[in-house]
Formats: sequence, structure tokens, C-alpha cells
Amino acid sequence: MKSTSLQIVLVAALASACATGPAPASDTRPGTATTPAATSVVRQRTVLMTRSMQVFSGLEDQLGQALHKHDKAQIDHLLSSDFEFRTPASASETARADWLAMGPAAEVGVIDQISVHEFPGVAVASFMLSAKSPDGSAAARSYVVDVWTGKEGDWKLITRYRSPLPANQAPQEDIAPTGKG
Amino acid sequence: MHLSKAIAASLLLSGLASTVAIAGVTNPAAEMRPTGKGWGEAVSGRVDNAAKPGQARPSSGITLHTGGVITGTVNVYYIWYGTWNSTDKGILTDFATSIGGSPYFGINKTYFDHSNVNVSGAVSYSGVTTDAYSQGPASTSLSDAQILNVVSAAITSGRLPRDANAVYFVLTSSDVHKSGFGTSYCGWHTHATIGGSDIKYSFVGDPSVQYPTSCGAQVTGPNGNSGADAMASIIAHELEEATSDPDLNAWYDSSGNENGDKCAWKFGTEYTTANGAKANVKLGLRDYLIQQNWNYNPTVSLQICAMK
Repeated sequence: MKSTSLQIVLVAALASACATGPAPASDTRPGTATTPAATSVVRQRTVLMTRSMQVFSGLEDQLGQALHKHDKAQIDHLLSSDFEFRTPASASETARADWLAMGPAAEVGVIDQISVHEFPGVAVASFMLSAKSPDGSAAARSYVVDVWTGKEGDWKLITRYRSPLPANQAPQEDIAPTGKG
Repeated sequence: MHLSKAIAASLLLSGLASTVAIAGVTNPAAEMRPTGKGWGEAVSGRVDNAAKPGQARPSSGITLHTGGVITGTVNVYYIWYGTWNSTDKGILTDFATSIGGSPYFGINKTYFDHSNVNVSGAVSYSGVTTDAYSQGPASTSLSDAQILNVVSAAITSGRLPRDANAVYFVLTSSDVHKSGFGTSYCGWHTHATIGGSDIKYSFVGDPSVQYPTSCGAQVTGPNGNSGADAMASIIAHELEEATSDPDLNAWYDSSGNENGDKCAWKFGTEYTTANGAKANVKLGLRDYLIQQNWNYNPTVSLQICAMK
């Protein structure tokens, strides 16, 4: 795949992720399909996670542990030398050294709702991050988009986009198709 | 790096700052149930299923909840959605024909219902039908509701019998797009009431073109195929889950993981087949590389992933 087309694909994937947030795995498009008569509600389903989800969940966990323990060797193994961090709170990107100097508090926590778009040489992982404050009080929630480059067995995080979420926002219930439009 | 900067700029344009906000409520003590999102959901409220960095994931055995299992012979029906060739069909038909009674599927005999009736371990490949893009062009992503449409149409039209002791598989060809497929899941199972019967059904897509690495363990499988060989493992996963947790309320652990989830992408001892591909089981005349299954034991520490 050419670089240009890859960028377009990535941009589309990221734009989709950002526009909708971490969409529930269940489709949320009532009305886009008719449900046959005599068919009742489907409330849930259970899924087999993808290999990519498993791999990048592990890498995110390894990175979190390395940041938590200030394990420089492991950080260097997982974090690209030209890593950049972006957040809506800052107009410009934050360089690798500055990001590390900020400390791991906001970047380490419980990960859930991960989804991974993998392309040759590039993988985009998006997930919810619940980071505990230093005093262990209520978790700060963020929506994170991580861009990894490399190949199987040698992935490095090159960019993190983290968007903090309002603390007082009520949990969104995942929506399952109801068949009722 | 140019790629990084392009992505960064695009993200700003696409409105990362206005990302839909979803705040979660963590409640590690709450009981979990399967949700289909790859993590558990509390019976009342959401519970995260991830371990904190530096903390070991708690050991979690699988237990029977309020629902039942499929007892007796589990009937399997295939719905070939899209365009399929005879080679792919042959690999997956042979798989469905030979998995019943195998030591591998026999692992499911460790599961039972509230009357202490165990899963039989028997599987019957009971019927097949085709569906030539009834839900629209292959390039238009299918929704979950449309998968249900496919199953319902097959049953209500009489092309397949209405069978509550069965699992209906909607198998989509490699050109068919499905929302979430390859990025959030490789397959799923659920149930619905169709014509008054509780119908269990599953979606499994051919990942060979769109998501060969996300949903396939190797480029070429033991039967010289990338799509069908990968699908065999996903079908095995969904079939064992649909048997032990058909209505999503029976066998799962405190994180909401069903038996297949607990061994996802674990293959155990492998061997090399004549074409150089890896396999871990022979069913009928074919080799397959299929994931292990969770062997239930009342002693949690003895519950393991296994192939027989």
C-alpha cells in the first residue's frame, strides 16, 4: 500500500473513531434494517476478540507497567524515539521527553473497550483509559487513540492522542439492536 | 515523521477534542456477564475487565449462572452468505461434519445444566442454505440486525428448519463487510426468538482479504487456505460457547468470559503439516489449527485450556 493511500485509510479510521467515540460492539443503527415479523429483541451477543486486540492490549499493558515502574529499557523498547503526544488541552504536540517528564499518572490505568485497526506496518488502537489519581481517588477517564508502527513482535508507539472526558458525565449505556426502530 | 504529522493534523480536523464522552463506573466487586463487547458488563452497571498495570489479573474460574446449556445433539446449520467456492465450502463442511464426537468437542461435556444434564458432545451438521447478498451490496457494511434478518429469512422461508437445539452460522464471504469485524471481533454468537423458538445463531466472516492477521493465526492454513482455515477456529470458538452459554446466561466467569473466550488464540501443541502450515488437531481427514477450549473442573485451579 502506498504511503498516501495508507494515510487516507488511517485518517478515515481515526476520523471514524473520533466522530463516534468508542462505539459499542453492538450496532446502534435502529431503522437501518428491518427486523422480520415474529422476531423478538436481540439484546446481546458475545464476541471473539481479534488477535490484534489481544496483541495490542498486551502492549498497552506492558507500556503502562513500564511507565509506572519508570523502566527506561522497556520504555525505550515500546516508545518510538520520535514519539509525540497530543491532547485537546494543548495547541501543540508534546515531545517524548516532555511527555515522560509529565509523569505516568494520567497515562496509566485500566484499559477497556479497545478496538484495533491494523494495516501493514501501522496499527491504530483506540480505548477508554481510567487513570487513578495519585491519592487513589476517583478515576479520570480518557479516550485514547494510539498509533503503533512496526511489525509483529516489534511494535513501537509513535503517537498518542488522549482526550479527557468530563468527570460528571453519566455512563453511556451500550445500545443493542431492539428491532423497534 | 510525515505519517505521524498527517495523522495528527487529520485528528485535529476530525475533532478529537469533541470525542463523544463516555464515562465509566468501575465496580470490581460486581458480578459480570457477557456483553459481546470483549469485556464483561456488571449485572447492574459496567465493570472493567482489565487489570491495572503491576497487578496480576485475578484467577477466575467459570461457573454456571441462571441459564441452561444445549443438551443432546447440537445441530449446526450453515448459511453461506455472499460468494463461496467449493474449496472453502468443503473445508468448513468437513469441519462441521467431523467436530461432533471428537475429543476436542468432548471438552464441552464438562458443562451441565441445573438438572445436572451434561452437554452430550455430539454435533450434527444438519442443513445448509445460501444467501446471495440479500442485505445489499458486499461493500455496504452489514449490521447485527441484518445478520438476524439473514437467519430469520432462512427459517421463515423454510429453507432451514426452525430448530431450538441448533446453532445457525451466518458465514460471510471475504468480500462482505460487517461493522466491527476484524477490529472489534472476529465472530460472535447470540440468540433471538424466531417464530416462537429460541434460535441461537452466530456470525463468522472470512477474514482472508480484509483482516488476515487480525482474525487469522497464519497466512496459509493446513488445508492450503487462508480464509476457511481461519474460520474453522472461529466457528469452533462460537460453537462451544453457544453450546455452553446459548442464551448468554449460563457458563461464564467473573469477567464475563465464556469457555471459548478464556482460551482465545491459544493453540497448545502444534505440528507442521505437509504444506508447511501449523495444525493442532485432525478431525476426519483434515488437519486444522483451532483454538483450545476451557475444561471445566469444580476445582478452579484445575480448570485449564485444552484440546481434549
